[in-house]
This record gives sequence, structure tokens and C-alpha cells, in this order.
Amino acid sequence: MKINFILNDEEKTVDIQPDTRLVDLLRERFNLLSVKEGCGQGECGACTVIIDGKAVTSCLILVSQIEGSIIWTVEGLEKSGELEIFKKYFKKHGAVQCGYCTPGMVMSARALLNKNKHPDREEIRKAIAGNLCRCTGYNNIIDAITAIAEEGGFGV
Amino acid sequence: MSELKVYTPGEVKEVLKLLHDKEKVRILAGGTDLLLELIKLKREGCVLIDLSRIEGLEYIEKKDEELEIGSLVTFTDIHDNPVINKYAPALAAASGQVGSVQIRNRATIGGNIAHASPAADSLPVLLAAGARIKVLNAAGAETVLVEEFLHNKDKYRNHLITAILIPVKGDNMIDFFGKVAYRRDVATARINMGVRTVYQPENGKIIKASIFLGALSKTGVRADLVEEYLTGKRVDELERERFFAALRETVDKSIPGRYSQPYKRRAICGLGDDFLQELQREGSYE
Repeated sequence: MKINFILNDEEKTVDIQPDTRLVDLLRERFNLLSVKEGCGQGECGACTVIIDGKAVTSCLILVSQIEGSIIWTVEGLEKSGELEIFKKYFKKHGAVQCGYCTPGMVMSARALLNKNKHPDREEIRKAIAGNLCRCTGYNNIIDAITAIAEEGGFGV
Repeated sequence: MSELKVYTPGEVKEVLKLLHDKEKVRILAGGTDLLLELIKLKREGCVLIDLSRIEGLEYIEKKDEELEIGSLVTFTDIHDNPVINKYAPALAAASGQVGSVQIRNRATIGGNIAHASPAADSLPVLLAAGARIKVLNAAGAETVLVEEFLHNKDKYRNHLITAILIPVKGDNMIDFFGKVAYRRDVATARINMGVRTVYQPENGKIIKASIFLGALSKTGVRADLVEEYLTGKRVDELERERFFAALRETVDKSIPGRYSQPYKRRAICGLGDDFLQELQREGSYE
């Protein structure tokens, strides 16, 4: 099946089995290795990407469902320069240890900032409730996202 | 492993034809439940009908005394919608507690009803409000109570749910949704409760109570003992212990001897307490 979509600001067309999961398409066909598979059941959020402005778990989406969609991964944020801001504040607040959850956390935070330029801590907690971290705990990550919201230039 | 045949129809009539013609056919809406079974679906050689290219099933409208919600509306959109927050607040509340942000951004209300997980958060609320759904198959359209649909799932196997119709909450009604789970977010209900009560504005007397409990049985359980207890009483006449006893008895009757019974008969009182507080806040007659 031919599928057309926009991936990290580039138009793409792939010819692929429609029952392929989005996470597999992104990792295997496009080598976008920021997209991690953790649980494969939509529980851990490691595979979170942004589709049409919204955070979604790419392990629970088939490629047949993404026709015409606009998809962003961490690699796209790197290209646009936004990732620098996330890197700076995640580092500053000690929000990364093993790093496995980090791309998912970044995408969930980015989607939140799409919708809400000035989230409070509770809103940040809600936004990353679907992303599991087993290393740093959540407070450092929430601190980082709070700082990004306040200082990162998304509030304009 | 054999591959899964996936159809991506652009029109409802094509969906109905596929539902009619194909065997082992499953409908893919948001996919947050169905795709958990991806390996099994492949092994069984299932056929998927992906609804992502169907237009016109993502609307929310108020029509007189009913809200009509297209079956492909996501829980995020339900939770955020001001009309639903005003006229079906318990549904808005329940929708905000389904899974995580990521799940709510994909999961649809139609899918939740069709999949009918015993712990689904939307179902007790829809049942309590007396919601109906519009279903279609090759033979035509039908409007059926959610309760009837859930008890006759086989009959509606080859139907497409197109809309959900919810009687709006009137000024003399109190709606409630409550849920107990192992954690605060991204949690499957251990027990959940949907309520709609109607009271007499002149004297605050409850004239109708509709209460459904989820995660107790395959489908929502009507708490008829609790409904009976509430009916005809004013909020200030309610006795906590008698109200809790009726809730506990409902649980005891639903899951006698099940390992979770001792836990759930206590947990339900926590929800009951939250509901009583809501009643006192909203429905106290001065």
C-alpha cells in the first residue's frame, strides 16, 4: 500500500505493508532511532511522536492510519533547532539518566507546549503521565519542562 | 506469520459492504485496544477495516434534548469540548481519565463502546444517562440503547457504530463519574461508577436515580438497590451507612466469592462518598 505523509517537514511516500506499525516504519525505514519501543502496548510512552499536533504512541498505530498526516519525531526537532532548548534544560535539571524515556518525554512536552504555552506543574504531570521513567524520577523532568515553558521561548 | 489484510475505505457504504462480505472482520478506529491484539489478529488471518479515511464521523452537536457525538470523536476532544462539559459533564470527566494523553488522542468513543472492555470508563456514564447509539449494516440503520447493544453484542457484530446520542443533563439533574484504580493516571479501573440523578427543584427530592458500576461484570451492572434507596429522598435525608450498605450489597451480588470482592466492596464506598459529596454540593435543597 502506498502511504503519503509529512515526516519532520519532508514529504514522504512509502510503499509498505499496511499492517506495519508506525514505530517500525520510523525506526526501520527512516532510521529515526529516537523513537524507542518499550512496552509495545501504549503504556510506557517511549515511542511517543507527534501526529497533527498531538502526542501519540507510535506502537499502537498502523501505517494505513497515517495517510496525509504530519508527523514529528525528535530528529525533526533537532533539524528545526528546538531540540537544543530541550537538551539544555534537561541537562541543567538532571532530567536524563539512562535516556531511554527521554525522546518520548520531549515529544510529550512539545505537544503540551503546542496546546498550552504556560502549563503549571500539575498540567505537566498530566501531560507526561503516559511516559514512564525508571531512573531520575519525575520531578527533575517536570523541573526541566517547567523551565522550558518559562524560558524556552515557546511562550511567545 | 501471515499478513493482515487492511482495507481503507473512504465511504461508509464501502465499510458496510466489507462488513457484509468478509469473514473475521474487525473495525480499526483509534486502535488503542484493537492493536494490542495485533499478533493474534495476524495469526488468525483477520481482515481490518481502517476507518481513518472515513469523513463525517467526528462531530459533536446538541440537538434539542440530546447530544450527538460522532463515533470517531476522540476522548481528548470529548474531554475538552465545552458543550459536552455543560450537558454531559460526567462523560467529559470519564473521558479525561481514559488512559494517557497519548491514548486519549487516538481512542474513540465508538471504539470504546464496540470493544466494550468491562473496565471501560465511558460505559457506566453512558448507561446511567440512558445513551443510545446509531448503528448501520447493509440492511439499514437502527438506533439502540447502549445497554441493549452491550447485552447483544453478537447481534451487532457486523454493524458500524456511527453516532452516540446522550440525553442532555437538565438543570434538575446531577451527573457523576468516579473511578478507583491502582494509580492516578494511565490506570485501568478496578471499579468505576456512572450516575445520573433527577431531583424535584421545589423540594430537592430525588425522583430518579440511575447508577451503573463498571469492572464488576462483562457489562455495566445496574445498582438497583442503590437506586431504590435514593429514590424519593431528599439529599439531607440520606444516611451514609445505609447508602454504603446498598452499594456493598450490589458488589456482593455481582461478584460473590471472587478474590477481588473484599477489596471492591470497600472501594465502592469511596466512590459512594465522592458521589454523596457531589450531591450535597449540587443538590442540597435550602
